[in-house]
Amino acid sequence: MQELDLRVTNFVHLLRVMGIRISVAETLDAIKGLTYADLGDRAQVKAALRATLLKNMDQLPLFEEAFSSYFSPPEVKGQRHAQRQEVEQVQAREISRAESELQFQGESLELTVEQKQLYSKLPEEGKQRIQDFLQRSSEGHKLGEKLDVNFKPIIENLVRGQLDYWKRQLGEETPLFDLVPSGEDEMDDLLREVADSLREHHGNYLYEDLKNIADKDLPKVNSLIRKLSKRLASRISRRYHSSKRVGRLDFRRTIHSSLSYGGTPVELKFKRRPRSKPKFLLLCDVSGSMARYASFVLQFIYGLSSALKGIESFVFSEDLERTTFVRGQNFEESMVKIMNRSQEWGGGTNLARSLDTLLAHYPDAISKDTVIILLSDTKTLEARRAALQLKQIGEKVKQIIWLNTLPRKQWSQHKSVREFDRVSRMFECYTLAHLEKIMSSQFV
Amino acid sequence: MAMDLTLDSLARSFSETGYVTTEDDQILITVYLALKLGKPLLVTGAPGVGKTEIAKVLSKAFDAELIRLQCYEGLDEHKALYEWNYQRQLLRIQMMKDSECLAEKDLFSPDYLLARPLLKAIQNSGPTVLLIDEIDKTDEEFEAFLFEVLSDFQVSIPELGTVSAQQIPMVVLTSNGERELSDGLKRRCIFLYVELPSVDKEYKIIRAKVPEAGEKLSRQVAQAVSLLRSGLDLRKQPSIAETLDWIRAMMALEAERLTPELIDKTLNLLLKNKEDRDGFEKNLGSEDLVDQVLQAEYKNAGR
Repeated sequence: MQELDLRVTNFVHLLRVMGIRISVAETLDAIKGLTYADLGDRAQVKAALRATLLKNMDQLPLFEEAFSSYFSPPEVKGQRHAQRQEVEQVQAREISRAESELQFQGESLELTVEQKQLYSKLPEEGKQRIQDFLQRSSEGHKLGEKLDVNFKPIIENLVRGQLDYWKRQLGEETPLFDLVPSGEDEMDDLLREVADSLREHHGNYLYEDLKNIADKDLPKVNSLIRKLSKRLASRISRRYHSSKRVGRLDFRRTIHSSLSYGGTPVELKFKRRPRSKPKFLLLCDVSGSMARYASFVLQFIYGLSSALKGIESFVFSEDLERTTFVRGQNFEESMVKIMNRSQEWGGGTNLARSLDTLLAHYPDAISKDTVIILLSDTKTLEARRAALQLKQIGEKVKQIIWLNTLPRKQWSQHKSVREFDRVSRMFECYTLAHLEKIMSSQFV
Repeated sequence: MAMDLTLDSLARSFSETGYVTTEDDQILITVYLALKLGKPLLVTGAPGVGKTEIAKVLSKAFDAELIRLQCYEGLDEHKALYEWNYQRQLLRIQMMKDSECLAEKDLFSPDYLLARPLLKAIQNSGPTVLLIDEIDKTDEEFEAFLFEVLSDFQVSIPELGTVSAQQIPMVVLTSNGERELSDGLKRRCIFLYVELPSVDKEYKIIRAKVPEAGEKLSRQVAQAVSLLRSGLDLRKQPSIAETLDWIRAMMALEAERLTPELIDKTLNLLLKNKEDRDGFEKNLGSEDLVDQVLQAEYKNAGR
């Protein structure tokens, strides 16, 4: 029995690490549920765990793959263990080689394990360049005197700088399917296996940077975007539907209606609670680096516009242009028109100037019910002035949501992100999975 | 009731009431667990996949009274739980205004209480299935109120005291997934997602519900619907109910097998959206659909 409890709680831990929220009560349900299932029947065990632990069908692929990996036969587990040991040995060899190659005057440089691992992944010419630099520095002179060990920190900083450069050049590692490593080896092996399986069985388009989406995945991506916009539209229309829910007693109407019953208040009348529907204003950055993202987000807004009234959309790069979609218009035709007409598509970015134009020519678009959705990587000229303008606009509107296409890991490196993060609600949004997550949250 | 329940007996009950399940859809095991654990069953899935039907089947299988709470925007506790019959109370006051023997407690007695579905389910002494249909259409406040009722199965009526359930009802909640339900509600439920059926399952459903349709036509219709669902990017996927309407329409036209003409005449019953109809004409067409159905038939026959 204890063995079963342990297995279930470890499985729950894996699911939690993968981002599936599971409460203690649900874990207890799962354990109790399994006592009613035939433990020799894999399908029943899976169904019992699914029914008690998984409450969001978008996470079904994650659950399926986690179940297959976690409840795999012992020989597969043995294989996994052997593979992990092999990987650890390779890593240890790589680190030791890096330590022996990265030396200043015979002393190893003080670098992090991550930096040493990065060094070992560099192409040979990159390694050689760093080694040559270390060689020259070790034998170098300053003001006629040979460099001594006191220069080691400076040399280390320079090597770190070069490694940072290479990190950017090599790009991000293959994403772990949006699964964040836990730091526990066994768990991370399982996560890696789940990520590989997901990639193999479901394609990577959900977690792929939108700018890299392959053409073959476009139909699936478009279909998902349509689904997301429909879901949000129905949520907004339902949530802000003029509700039949009643408020306080309306004395005037009650007394008025009582006249027809000889003064007896047979029918009570209640006040309706006022609720105002948000008006959406989309500002979409279509500068050179952003154009690909913009095409997906505009498609999303097009889907919303088909279902909801009053959505204003604008594209901007060096200046602002109105692109509000007309209901019933085909998306592809609308986009071709916008792109042919647009002066802004693919230019540089100046958000401050674009906001000037918005305030000067479209002041009606800003009201207390307006929700501004801004899609941009924050890289703009006059970022400080744009942030001040946004702050002022923020006081007049319901809220400003910033969909940032820069990965969150890079946010701290950009001053502009910090500026805009203060004046808006910023979400990381460079994959469809991000967009889906934002839409599922109660963001309006 | 749940004590004597076994998975086999539940499977028999489902089968006797004509509800088709397969091992893949996990419906039986999930319903079984919900009953055994005494937890509400939350059923989600696209419209028309048979979510509500599960509650009806349970009611028949356990000879339990089915009490239904249909949810809608603006539904509040007065409509769901109880309210006082205000008009009747007023009438009583008017009638007794000259008499001095009318006490306040006379007006707040069970005679003047209008029990709504939730209270009815709690008060019912016999076995009860409480169906809370389309929970995603209510407001979040109501959802919060609901999960309090579902955790304790008791209600406090200030004028009367606390009413507790004599027998915990079987609760089935359904949702079309139009709105994300709160974590609190989901946590308290056993979760079942009903998918659109496979060809085999839909064939079995057709045979169970429209036995007068021949085997051949039933198989072809199930195959055609499956091809439409998977092959076209439809805005509204045909539901099981629509498949049944489609085949009934074909039966009315005395059809024995699927033909392009038959599809052209009856497809409106399946694809009810102009964009879906246009997409079908543009990307597939009735002749190609029949061809693909026949190909699938040959392939299956060859197996």
